[in-house]
Amino acid sequence: MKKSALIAVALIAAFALTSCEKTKKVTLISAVAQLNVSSITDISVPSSFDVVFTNYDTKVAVTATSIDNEASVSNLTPGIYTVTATAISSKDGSAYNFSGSATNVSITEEGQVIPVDVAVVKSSALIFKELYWTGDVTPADPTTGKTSNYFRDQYYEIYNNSQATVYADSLCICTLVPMQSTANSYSWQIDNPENYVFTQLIWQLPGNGTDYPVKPGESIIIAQWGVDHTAEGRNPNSNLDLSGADFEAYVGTNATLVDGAALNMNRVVLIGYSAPQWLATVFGPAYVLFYPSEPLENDNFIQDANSSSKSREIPVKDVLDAVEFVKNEASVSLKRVPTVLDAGALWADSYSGTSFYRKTKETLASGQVIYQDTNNSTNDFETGAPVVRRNGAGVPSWNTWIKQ
Amino acid sequence: MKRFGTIMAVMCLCSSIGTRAQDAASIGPFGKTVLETNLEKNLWFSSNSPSLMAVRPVPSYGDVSFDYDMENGRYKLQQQGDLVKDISFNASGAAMIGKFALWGEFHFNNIFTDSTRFNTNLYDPIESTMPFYIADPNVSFWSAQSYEMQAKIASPFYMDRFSFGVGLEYVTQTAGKQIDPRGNPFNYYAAVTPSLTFKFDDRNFISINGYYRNSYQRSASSDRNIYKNQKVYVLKGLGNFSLNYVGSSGLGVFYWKGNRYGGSLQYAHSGGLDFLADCKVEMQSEDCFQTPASPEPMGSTSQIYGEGRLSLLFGQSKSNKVTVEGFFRSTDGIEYVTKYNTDAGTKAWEILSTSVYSNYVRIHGKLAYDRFIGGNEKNGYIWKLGASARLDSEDDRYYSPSCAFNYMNATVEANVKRNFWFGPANLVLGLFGGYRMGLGGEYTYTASDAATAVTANVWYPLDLAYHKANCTTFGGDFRLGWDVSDKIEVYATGRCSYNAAFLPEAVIAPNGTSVDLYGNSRVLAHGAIGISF
Repeated sequence: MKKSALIAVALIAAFALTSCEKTKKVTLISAVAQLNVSSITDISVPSSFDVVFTNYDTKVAVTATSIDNEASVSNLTPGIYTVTATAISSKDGSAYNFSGSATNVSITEEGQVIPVDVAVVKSSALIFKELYWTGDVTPADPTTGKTSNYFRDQYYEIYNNSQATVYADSLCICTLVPMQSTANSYSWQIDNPENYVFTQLIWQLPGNGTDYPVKPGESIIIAQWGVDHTAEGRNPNSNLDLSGADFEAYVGTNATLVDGAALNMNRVVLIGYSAPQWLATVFGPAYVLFYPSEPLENDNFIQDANSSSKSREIPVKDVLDAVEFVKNEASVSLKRVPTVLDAGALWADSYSGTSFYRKTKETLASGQVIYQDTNNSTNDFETGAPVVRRNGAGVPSWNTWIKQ
Repeated sequence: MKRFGTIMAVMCLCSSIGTRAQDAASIGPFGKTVLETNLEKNLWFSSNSPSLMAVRPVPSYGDVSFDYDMENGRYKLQQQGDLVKDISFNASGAAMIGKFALWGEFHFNNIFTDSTRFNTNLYDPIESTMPFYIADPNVSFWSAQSYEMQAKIASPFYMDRFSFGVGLEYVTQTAGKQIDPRGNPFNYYAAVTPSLTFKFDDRNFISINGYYRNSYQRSASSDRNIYKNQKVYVLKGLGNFSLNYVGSSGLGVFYWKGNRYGGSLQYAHSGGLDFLADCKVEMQSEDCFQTPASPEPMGSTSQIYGEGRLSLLFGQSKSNKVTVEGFFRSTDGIEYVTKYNTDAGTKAWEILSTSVYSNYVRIHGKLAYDRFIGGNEKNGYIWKLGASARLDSEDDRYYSPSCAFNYMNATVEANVKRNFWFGPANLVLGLFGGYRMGLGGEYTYTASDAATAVTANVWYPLDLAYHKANCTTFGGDFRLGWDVSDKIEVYATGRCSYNAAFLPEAVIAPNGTSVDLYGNSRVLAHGAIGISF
């Protein structure tokens, strides 16, 4: 019997040892970002780039400067990283933003090489200067004591950051799909989808090419609804009187939404439900400003490979400016705007009354304020309460309805 | 699973109540004091091996009680409530069915916990060794219910050599967090312990048992206020976390699946003195996932557990009991690098790399002595004296970023009970006291968010202060029994203890800030009415 007991003990021990398949302890690793600048031909490439390896999960960002288009970093914890390379240079008085990224790359092996394609875009004259989409909360109803959420005062300020007059005629503005940052992205059936961004709703400003000039230092206000939102029955908590907005997204299908004095934009592309207003999501939209290089079709849409969803493609080369908002800081890794357009991302709580406005870079002798535009919204924007035409931006002369 | 639970419940209730009536001939002396003495002196019953019960079956008994427990005070871990109220129904019993020894118990607890923090979706984060769950800093209250059933059965010795036994355990628990972000965990586990005892002769026995436990916990999180997503920490261990949200498009359902297996080996000697050596080895692996429809691995643990116990009963009427016991538990926290594959037709989370990021070691040792003075098998004891010394330590590490949490403390305790009889009434009065001495401890946190992380700068420093503190405990208890017939005793019990810790005004967090300690005492009270038969 002693023998049986010994055998039993030996069996338990053997079972214990064989079952214990040991997982290895984590080790820190190094990685190399290899910058591919071969697509840049008409301007000289900067000698060095600022390269950042960001792990949004661990909140760790490791920086390096590239030498000969390579940047090495060490002591990385294995994980999912977004690698960005940025540089700025100027030519003929214009600023050029060089930017490239490799998004959500798994770095799990020592010495892993990460290819990063770098592209360059000229800083646009027209830029988003302020974006207010979060909405706010109304005062408590005196009879019920309840508050409600208010979102009809969303607006966007577009600013001429150059020293030449530009024309807003036919300028387009839209939010991208997916509407919210999500891991479930689309697989659009188009060649080289990386050269496009995708939307389901495009608003276009009217004009015949020279109807709506915007001088240096002037801005235009695009409102969801161009009325005084401080009025009773709207949101007396708001400080937003948008009755002087230049353009609004009015379609005239809802009797409650009266037509403001602002010029009505044209809804040139619409896929899906025809809403009586332009409600951008309050959970982090991504905005794009562009002049279409080809006439926009409201038909022949691009199809998603995995669902019945459709979209309209916008070539990246047409985009003047893009600003990406995500749902919250945990969603930064789910960016949907190419980093050549916006290498960063911003977020705020829904109905928090938060507005995003661009940082000032300098003030010229003429008094014109020049705003920072590095195509990285994380660096370029600040947050606060919304202020229409902050820092004294000029009003275009053709806006005759604004209260002076 | 419901069927299994029903079978277990029936077995437990049968053993605690029903079989008593069928087995009237074997009814022995009854009463809570006698029961306490019988169980304390029955080394075989308390072993890990059910079949060892066959050596000396517990005399038949039945006991049913309604209990109320309360804890109040702020000398506590952050995940404990300032106030905890537990109303429970408890039943236990033992009986001989034919020549088979059967024992079972059932507990139903209804628990209300007020003012807890740093747990959003786990049923019991303190007892659990799972570092992967979500937490929030909001002070919350919880309500919980727990059903626990346990039974074991031992056969007689066949061929005067072999006894077979099996132990079964089934637990379901559910809870609800009552403040946003809310969690609604459902926890279940079932365990089976098959065993075999070999009888060398009438005095010497060797026993072996296996053990397998399957556990599953599931927890969905939500917000009552759907307009405000709640920020939560997806914990990885020792204060490390990634930030996420509960609410629209936020975190999905978390679930944990675990298996624990192992076995024990016992040697028992019964004679002029009783001796039991019991050693156990177990291993456990538990995985945490998110979103059952598209499982995202959140982390795993791998644990090895070793336990040993030596018990000795000696002296006249075996009235002296010495116990030496200890355990060692080492748990690895395993993390994954994962990526969501969005390829058409795939759309699933893939594991790209697996590494051990953390390790949690717990060591416990205890030496105890109990002495029963006076009394007999019909009334238990006149005096009961007890003393114990205990050493506890925890040594936890997170490898990258480098973090550590460790402490050690030593505890001495003593208790005394006196039994009085007044006709059919029986009164037991007891006093107890103890002192725990902190032998040091440390918490370090070096993650990139060390300056701002609430987990690292509030939760862990406060918990470390709790463990490190010198603390004295004292209190008293009573039990009043009344023999309403020669087979039935009704009783009421009460117990109250007071913990007073010697704490500084504040502790320094890893970011250099001062964190105020807001309480240095805690009262624990218990009351019950029951019937023993």
